[in-house]
Amino acid sequence: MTPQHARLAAAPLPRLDHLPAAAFTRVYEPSDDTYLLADVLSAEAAELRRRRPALCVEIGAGSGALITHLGALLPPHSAALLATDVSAAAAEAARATGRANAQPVEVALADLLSALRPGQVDVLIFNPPYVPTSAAELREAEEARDLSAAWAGGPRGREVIDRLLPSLGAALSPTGLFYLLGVAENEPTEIAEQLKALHGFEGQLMAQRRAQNERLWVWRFSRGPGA
Amino acid sequence: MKLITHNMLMSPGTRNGFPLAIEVESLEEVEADFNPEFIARMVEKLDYPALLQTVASLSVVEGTLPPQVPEKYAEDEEFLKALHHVLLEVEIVEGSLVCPETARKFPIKEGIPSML
Repeated sequence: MTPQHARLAAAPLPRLDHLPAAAFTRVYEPSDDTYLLADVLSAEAAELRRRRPALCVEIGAGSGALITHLGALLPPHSAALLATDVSAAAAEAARATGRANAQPVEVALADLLSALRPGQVDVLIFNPPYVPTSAAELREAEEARDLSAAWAGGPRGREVIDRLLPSLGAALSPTGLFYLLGVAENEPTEIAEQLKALHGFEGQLMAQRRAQNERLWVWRFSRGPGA
Repeated sequence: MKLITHNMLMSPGTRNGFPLAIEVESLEEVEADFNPEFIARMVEKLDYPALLQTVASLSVVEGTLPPQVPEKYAEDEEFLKALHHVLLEVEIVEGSLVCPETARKFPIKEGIPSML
């Protein structure tokens, strides 16, 4: 952990006590990765408010904790909040989390950004399935659309991330920001190089944290200097 | 699903899969807090003709929106209020979204559209 990351304060997550314990057999329960991304968003709150995002989207939203947290960091009723997931259980949980925390979270079942009209997303957050697995394990997870789909990431944990990368250039608005979480095995500098090559995006490491056996990171991407 | 979300959704894997037609089985009018500054910022994102077309197709929703966005829309409280109502206070609870290119149907159940 570098000094500038050491002062990242722990952010309170939205209330999740409306979700019964049984919900977390089907929906990813917020863990160290979720907390790290939440902490980064909290540290970015002033910058996010300055940018006045109109549309914020979380893909693979799971419990909806992060998009709800993001909504709470912005002035009340100042942005549209949209959570997508491939899991029906997650979609229901995300909507319930929005409601329980008085954030107007809209929900759609969708694969990554495939159902969004281009050029609209001002803030995009993604805590992807990043755990390295075999390709076969990922296929099984995707077919089951169960909890394993929340974490199984294929070789290097990159399959789902890599499927998203080409679509980001069209999806983000001119001033859009993309916050991506992952682990060291995902090779984030290579992700940054790809986003630079594909879309001219500039990337910045926002935080790193070691949590149990995971070396977590969050990078932020934008369309380049001044964007 | 609110109409603000509908205006952002398209049929996956298509070129002209926007706007999705809405087949309504059940619709609710709800109340949402009015933030005129937010609605004014949304004007730049919206596909306004698509929104008008959608509102016209929903017979139960009052069509108080003008045919064009007013020039000084950010100060036009009446316009912003009407837009707020249409975008945030109409909830499609049950029904389908229909792709204008392929006629493929996407179900909406308990307010959640499935674009899978």
